[in-house]
This record gives sequence, structure tokens and C-alpha cells, in this order.
Amino acid sequence: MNRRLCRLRLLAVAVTLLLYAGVTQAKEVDWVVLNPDLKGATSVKEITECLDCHEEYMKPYSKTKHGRALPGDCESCHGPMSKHMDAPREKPVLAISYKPTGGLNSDQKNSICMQCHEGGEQMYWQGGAHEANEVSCNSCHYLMERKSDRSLSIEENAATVCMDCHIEKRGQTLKSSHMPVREGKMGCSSCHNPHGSYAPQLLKAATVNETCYECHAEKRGPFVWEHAPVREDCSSCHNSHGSNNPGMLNTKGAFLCMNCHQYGGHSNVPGYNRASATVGQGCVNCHNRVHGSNHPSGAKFTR
Amino acid sequence: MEMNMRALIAFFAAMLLIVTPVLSIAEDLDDEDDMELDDDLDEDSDEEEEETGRFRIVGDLNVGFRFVEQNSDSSKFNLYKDDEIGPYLSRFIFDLEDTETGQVFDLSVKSLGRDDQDIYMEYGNPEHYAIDLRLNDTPYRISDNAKTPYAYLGGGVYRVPDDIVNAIQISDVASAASWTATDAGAGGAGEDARISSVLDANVRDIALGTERRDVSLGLKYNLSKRIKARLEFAVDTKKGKLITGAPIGDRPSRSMTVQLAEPIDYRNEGIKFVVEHRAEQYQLEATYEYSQFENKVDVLSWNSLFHAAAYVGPDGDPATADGGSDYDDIRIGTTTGYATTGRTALAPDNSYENIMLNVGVNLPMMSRFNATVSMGTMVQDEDLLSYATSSFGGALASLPRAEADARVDTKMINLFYTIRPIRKLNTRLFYRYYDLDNKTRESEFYYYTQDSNSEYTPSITTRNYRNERVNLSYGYRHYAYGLDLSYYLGKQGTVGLVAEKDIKNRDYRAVDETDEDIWTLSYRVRPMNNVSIKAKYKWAERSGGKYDGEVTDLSYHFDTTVYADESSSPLSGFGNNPGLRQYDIADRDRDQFDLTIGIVPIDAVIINLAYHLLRNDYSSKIASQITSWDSTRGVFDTVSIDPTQLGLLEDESSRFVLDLNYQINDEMLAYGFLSQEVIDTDQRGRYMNENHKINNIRTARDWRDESGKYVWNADLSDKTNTIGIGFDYAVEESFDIQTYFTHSEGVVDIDYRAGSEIAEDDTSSLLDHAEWYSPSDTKFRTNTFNVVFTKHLAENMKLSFSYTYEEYDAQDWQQVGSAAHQQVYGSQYVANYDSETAGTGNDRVGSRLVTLSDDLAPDYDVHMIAMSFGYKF
Repeated sequence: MNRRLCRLRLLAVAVTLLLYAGVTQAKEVDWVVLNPDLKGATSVKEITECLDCHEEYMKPYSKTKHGRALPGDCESCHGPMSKHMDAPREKPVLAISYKPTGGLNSDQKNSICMQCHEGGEQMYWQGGAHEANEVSCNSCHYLMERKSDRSLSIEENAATVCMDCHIEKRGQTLKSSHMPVREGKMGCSSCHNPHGSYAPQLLKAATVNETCYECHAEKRGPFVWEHAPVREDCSSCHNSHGSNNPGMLNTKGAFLCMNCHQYGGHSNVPGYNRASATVGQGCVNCHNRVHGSNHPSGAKFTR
Repeated sequence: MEMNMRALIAFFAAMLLIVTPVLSIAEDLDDEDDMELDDDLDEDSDEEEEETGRFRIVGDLNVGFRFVEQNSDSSKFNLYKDDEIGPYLSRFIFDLEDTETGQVFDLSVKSLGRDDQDIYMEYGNPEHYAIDLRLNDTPYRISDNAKTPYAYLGGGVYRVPDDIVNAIQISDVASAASWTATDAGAGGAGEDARISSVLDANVRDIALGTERRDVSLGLKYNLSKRIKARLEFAVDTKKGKLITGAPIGDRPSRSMTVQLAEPIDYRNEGIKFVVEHRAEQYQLEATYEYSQFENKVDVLSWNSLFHAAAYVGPDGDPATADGGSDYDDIRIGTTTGYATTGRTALAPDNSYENIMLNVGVNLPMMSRFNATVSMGTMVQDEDLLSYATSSFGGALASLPRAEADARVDTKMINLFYTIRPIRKLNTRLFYRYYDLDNKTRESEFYYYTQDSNSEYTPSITTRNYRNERVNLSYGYRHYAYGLDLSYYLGKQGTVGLVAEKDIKNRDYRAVDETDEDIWTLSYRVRPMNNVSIKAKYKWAERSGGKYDGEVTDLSYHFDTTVYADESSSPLSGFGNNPGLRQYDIADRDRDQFDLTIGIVPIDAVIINLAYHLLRNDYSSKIASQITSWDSTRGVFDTVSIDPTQLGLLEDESSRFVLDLNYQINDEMLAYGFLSQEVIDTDQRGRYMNENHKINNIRTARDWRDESGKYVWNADLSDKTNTIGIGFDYAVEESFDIQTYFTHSEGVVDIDYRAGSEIAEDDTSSLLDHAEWYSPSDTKFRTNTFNVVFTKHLAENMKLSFSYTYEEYDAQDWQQVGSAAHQQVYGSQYVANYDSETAGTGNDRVGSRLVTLSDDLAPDYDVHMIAMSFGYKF
């Protein structure tokens, strides 16, 4: 297919959809849809009455960012309270509850948060990996009490929140060669956007490499002499979640290089009569600019 | 798009001073007649203060003292942290809010004053504006155990003192193999032992590692309720030293390689500007980002440890081969000149610029359309070094250009549409395009091989394949699109199907275009209220079409009138063995299976199980015949070859995890996890003398032999077992006890099997320099035990005592030189490879490596006791 034509068509579709957006209905939470028992309920906006029964929640809540931004505004998240005020002990509760017994599915819970938080980092939330797997905002965030320094995370170390579900990653971060995740100097969200992303694997930048360059700008180059797979994908050689090989390499020493380089002489076998191939950093002892060279004689990354 | 970053820094600094957030609030505090803060703080009930005072303060302070007893000076324990003995502030939070004006000042501090400190402060009115400042330090300690004979003079210059060089080179013998283990040295010991003793007496400590400091300053401003802007300025510095190799010489085993500590002095300045418009139906976001990286050390240079001549320095007068009074004469019968100084270009200054537009639109039928378009540019234009530090009496060729003139443009289009055409059907359509257009100018550079006067660096007057290379500007284009469907079956669960197409076409790679079809089937169900199951199976088939391993010929100067019989000739040599398939572009069949099971057998118990399996099969059909240049007859010929595939043949990784949580009662929680990860790879290689490719393809058959005697196989098994158990006991308003133990053990086992010609010390082996055999296992083991007792002195006050024990053991043949034919002579700083008889042609100085240590991060046992006091206000 003519790619230019294909792109033009896609652009036309995008513009059409954007224009169409102008005539669609505003996205608002319909509390009655979320809880049919709220039909007829009206807003009360009286915090003191909430305090009477819910002080144990309201006290710590007032110390949170939401507590500051929405002081006493319980109804923004819990819906109109008039019926609940009239019959506070009615079960099921005549309000919006986020508890597992509250009857809301993840989409419904998230729609309430998205009243304020759609866009920005959540631009790709809908249809994203977590939304599609029925993760709700309160799976990772807790609004009623400050349990972490930032991000309203349900745990102090945000990485452990991720590992509650991604349990296989815990063992990887405990490997000898690892990023400073278990030390708390990095989190999963240093590289991934759990709220959805335009990039693969929920990465925060367009590609694996562009994500790595955020911290490793020295590898960004571009270089006079490029190492093709390095320019394309750092994960061709590194496992950023942890490794038993130094430098978080996927494979040990010369064996990694020999996966792709066997043209004769010393690059065919792991030993070949030189310590420089097997000791220390392996092939990199001499080919020390494998990420790219800027030396005019750096064709083989030895300069 | 030049930017004056320093002016920006000054601007932000001035702005910060003008705003001076804390002072502003402090002034308010002073001025207010009805200031109630002090009174409120004195009150025994902080909630009373919060409810009635104008200023609301929330805080949390944790300070303590730490005792550490470590049995070895291993950097590994504090790899990324600063758990040294002494007082510490683990956490300080101070949030101040003016409830009348809405102004807030938040401060969060961790590990203040230590190498891993993290400070964040924010001031502003969240409804209108905010200024935030963050300082985050991260250490990366590689070794406190490294030593080197070199002195660092600053500016990227290392020098080993002349007396050490003289002591090392004193016994070299003219016109003989220049370094043999049995050479009589000055002390009557072998040459390696003698030299290692010289090093032992002269090495000095050098710390390996870096300290990173990220500082960012952000300004958020809400232009209206719907329009928000954020400007962020960040400075990221990284200083220290990392390990690098420093060879002098045309190629091994003729090169003389030492390990050096590469000086790191990086500074990356970035600015990011985001404007966002959030409406109920759509959101727009435009982002501009600029980053400028500066390496304050552009060049690494070092003098030769093995050279007799006095140190001269970069571009200075070189020494030439002197017939045996130093280690220049390392090719028997050939006097090869080596420069006194090696020099390499370090990471170049560069910049990056990106502009991105993000759009999200809510549409009918619960649908949403997202589009992201971005364009970026990476530019690097560092001045190029000259080809070599020495001209060897002639004249260095001129560079084709003075600057790098390197540039990469990127373009990305991402389209995403999700809709529920019917209530139970979720549909997602996606299209992604990423273009990396490498616009770096391609030129023919002379190839001076590492500051040596070898046959590859003659006085250059003739341009040929031996001495010239073209820098190929690699780039690629990536297209991915697909359809993702999931259908809700009610109580029977949700079934999903994803069909994807992934196409990458690349410049200058052995495969022009890879085309992959990916299918994913998924199913998730809750067969019972207390059981959830998720399963996913993905399979993919990637095909790459014609594989052309000779594509690297394009990087050679190609003179079709000269069909020379040398392995360096692109005509008669190999770009790669014709049987090799590079795994990132090779044909590939992929299978992936994921299973997650969550069980809540009783309310108090949660069990999670996860299993993951990923298998890649890179099997390709290798042609049994190739067209090859027969240099003897001077014709192209079709020859049969062994159609055995080389390279990575197959890999498989599996992970199994079991997680348990048991809430014994309101006060007690027990938990544990168990995981095993196994990564198996099958790899194959072939010994091949590249000269046999061109001398006579009929008589020298090692690259065509089908008997298997030149072929080796390596099965790598990388296994990690992790176990963790923990127990929490908390009596409300009284005390807590938290304890855990983790064990992690990684083992890398290489099962190496070689054909008879390259087998382990086999008497029938002709190629003893290529011998190798299975090394011992590489092992890493870490055990950590931690217990914390916390006494709640009051509702907002606590006292904690903690004890941590950690042990770390490592065995790595690659570090200690204990694998086949490796020897560490006399000290830990000279490693030798002794597969051949001493005194033979390959027993050269280049078979050695002078290391920084064979034990950079030793095993350790650590006991750590800490006491801390916590106060919430």
C-alpha cells in the first residue's frame, strides 16, 4: 500500500473524529447509573454532618492533598448525600462506596476519578493495559489517608504497589545486578506510566532507548560510529529489571557478543588465547565504546 | 535552536528568589494579629488546630542513629545507598497550608545530608500556581577495592610513572616473543610474576563509582480551570569513575590492554514545557522538551604501561619499535611501532529536542480516540580527534571533516481508538509509526588501528579496504498496528484476542525488513467468588526474508580493481560467518504463556500464583552453498558450506512465583513469597581462521567443514531462586514488630562443548589457542534478615529499634580469572591466558590484561543496628 496515502487517510480520520468531538455530549458521571438507589438524591455540601459519623476517615483525609483541594467536599467522589443523610444505616449504603462490597466495577470507580483526572498522564488510561485488566484507581491509590510521600500511593514504596500484582518482578529486582528500585531511588514509574502510554510496554518515552536516554544521555549520541542494535534497542543486550550478569547484561561476557559476531579470528571462540576476552569485561575490555564511538578510528569501538 | 541554558538557570534562580515561598508565608504568620499557629502548636490536640487555625501544619519527623559492622570493605552493601554509621534523618515531612489564601508549602526530606538524600519542596496555590524544587542524590558504588598503577592527572589524562614502566620493560628480550611466562625476570621469576610484583609495589587505590545529583525546578501555572501550563528545568550531574578498557595496539593479541577508571563528569540540562487543555470531551497537550548533555572530560588518554620511551603525551613525539627493549616487538619477526600514548574519545556532548502533541477525545458509545504525534532531533557535533596520538614519523591523514556532524531525526505517530460497539465487547484499534532517520554524514575515515604502526596504519597515501572505513548511518522505521478485542461472557469470564502486525525495516542490517505476525489469546474468569484466573497465550512468527551477512562490506572502501587476498578485503573476507543469524533480526518463532491465579481460601488468606514462559526459536534455513571469491584462481565460485546455524539458536525463560498472605488476626500478619526464574539459551559457534577464507577455499576448510570438529555449543542456564518470609505483629497504640527474611541466589552455568580441534586440552587439538571448556558456575547469593521493633510512646510519637543482618557471596570466574586457561599471576592485577606453550607465537603481551582488581566488590557480612525516633505533628 502507498504509505503516504495511508497516512493521509489516517490523518483525515483523526481530524474527522476531532471535529465530531465538538458535538458530542459532555462526559459527566451519572450517579444514578453508578448506584440506582441515588435516584432523587441531592447534594448536601455539609461537612459537619459527615464528620459526626466518619471522623476516623475525615481526620487523616484532611492531611492529604485531596483533603486540601476538596475540603469537606465528600460528594465529589461519593455522590449526592441527601438520601444517605436521611437513612445513614440503610444497607446497601445510599452513597457511592469504593469498597469491594460497594457494587462498583473498576470502570465505574475510575469514571469518578476521571471527572477531574482525564488527560495529562491519564491521557491513554481508557483502553490502556491497566484499564483493560480491570485495575481501578484505588487499586494503587488511597485518598483517605497519606500513606506515602507523594502520589497518594497505597504504600510508601510505590514499586511494591506494582509488585503486588507483578509479583514476578520482585525476584528480578533482588538480583545482584539491578537498578536502584529496591533501594527506593527509582520506582517502576521512573520508566513506565501505569496510567497508560502512547509507547509500548507503558513506557514514558516513545521507545526503550528514548526512555533510557532520560537518565543516560551520554549514550544518546548520535555517534559517528553507531552500533546498530544499540541504536535500536538497549534491551537487545540489557535486562533493566535485573540480571545475574554485571551491567544487567542478558548473557555473560563474550557469549553475548558472539551471538551476533562470528567472522573469524578472535571473535569466534570465547578464549582465543587472550585474557582480555574472558576476564574483566570480556570483549568490552578492548571494544570499550560498544555504545557508539566518536573517534575517527572508532569503527570497531576500540577507540 | 541554540539555547542559553545558563541564562535559563539564572532566570529560574532569580524567580525562586523573588518568590521565596517560605518567607512569604512566614511574613504572613508574623503579620497576622490573629495568628494562631503558635497557640495551636501548643495545644495538645493538633486536630483542634487544624480545624480552627488559619495555618494548618502536618508533619512527620524520623531521626536516628545507625551502627554498622561490616567485615569487608565491600562497596556492594551500599551500592545505591548510604547506610554508613552515624546519625541520620530518614524522613521529614512538613506541610504548611494557609487556609485563607490557599497557599501551601510542602517539604519532604529523606536521608538528609547523606549520599542518597532526596529533598522535595513545593510552594504555591494548587488552584493557580505552584513551584516545586527537587534534589535527589543517588550513589552508585562499584568498588572500594580497586587499584591501579596509573595516576590520574585530571582532564582525562592517566599516567603511569616512568620508573614503573622502566621496571616492567627491563627484561624484555629482543626479537623474541616479548612476554612469556617462563622468561627469566630480574628476580629469577617468570615474567608475569615479576611484572605483577612490580605492580603490587606500585598500585594505588582508586574508587570506582559515581554520584548522581538530579535537581529540578518546576513551575505550574493554571491559566484557567481548563488550561494548565508547566515549565520544568532540570540539571542532572554525574561524577565519579567507571571501569573501561584501554588498549594500545592494532588488535589482540597484539594489543596491550589495561583496565582504567574512566573519569565521569556529566552534566545534563533539560527544559520541558507542557501546555494542557482539559475539556470534558477532549484533552489536548503540547510538550516541548530540550536536553543538552555535556561531558566535561572529552578525551581519555593514557601512556603505555609497557613502553620504554618517556611519556610524551597526546600528539607528541612517538617512540618506534626498538628491537626488544620494550614490549613493542610483540609480533615475532615484526617490529611494530606502538605509540607511547593511547587516546580515545569519551561520550560526546549532545543535545536532544522534541515536540509532541497529544490529543484525547471522548466519543459516543463509550469510545475514545487518542493521537500522539512527535518529532525529535538528536544532534552531536563534537570536534573530532586526530586519528592517532602518533604519526610514526610520517604524517597523519587529514580527517574528512573536523566535527562529528551527527544527527538523528525521529518521528512518531501513535493512533489509538477504543470503543464498545456492543455492551460486552471492548474493541481497541492501534497504529504506531516510529521513524529513526539517521542523518549523520557518511564519510570515508582512515582506520588507524589503536595508535599502532601496524600494516593497517602505513603512512597513508593510498586509500584501500585495509585502512578505510565508512561510518554507516544506521536508522530504522517501525510500523505496528492491530486489533484488540475482549468479550465479556458473564460468569464465564472474559475472552480476548489480539492480532498485531509488527514491521521494522532497517538500514545497513543483514535483513532489510522483518515482518512479524503476533496473536494473543487471553481468558480471565472468576469461577468462584474467591478464585480468579488469568491466562494468556501469545504466539508470533517473525520472518526476515533474505539474510545478507555481508552487508557490513558497505563500511569498507571497496575498490573493485583490487581483489587482494587478505581477510580484511570486503571481497574475500567475511562480514560474518554465513551460518550466523543475528537474533534481533533473524527469523523467530515465539511462544509465550502467562498464568495468574489468585485464591482467597478463607478471608484471612490470599494466595497468588504466577507462571510465565517465553520461548524463542531462531531456527533458520541456512543455504548449503554460497558464492565466494577464490583468490587463488581470481574468480567467484560457488562452494558448499556446512549449513549449520550459528549464533543464538533458542532461548527460553520461565518464572514461577508463589505469594502468600495470612492475616492471622487483627494484630498479626504473616507473608511469604517464593520465586524461581530460569533462563536457558542455546548458542553455537564455529572456529574459523579468517585467512582460510581467502587463501584457498579448497584446502583450508575450517569454515566449511561439516564434521563438527570446529564447532562449539554453549548451553547457558541462568537460574535465580528467591525466597522471602515476613511477620508483622502490631498491637494498636502500643507497639509493632515487623520482621522479614529474604534470600536470593543466582547461578549462571555454562555448559560448553567443543569439537575435537578446539576441545579442552585435547592432544588431537591443533588449535590450542582456541581451546576452552566449561567454567565453574557463577553464583551470587544475598541473605537479608531485618527486624524492627516500634514502641508507640503516644499517638504521634514512636521509638524504633531495628536490626539488619545481610550477607553477600559472589563467585565469578570472569572477575577472578579462574576459567579455562586463565591465570592470575602473583597479584590480582595481571591476568594471563595460557592455552599455548610459553614462547610460541601467540604467547604475547596481548594475551594479558592488567586489571583494576579481581575482586571489585568482595563478599561481606553486615550487622546494622539503628535507633530512631518518630514524631508526627
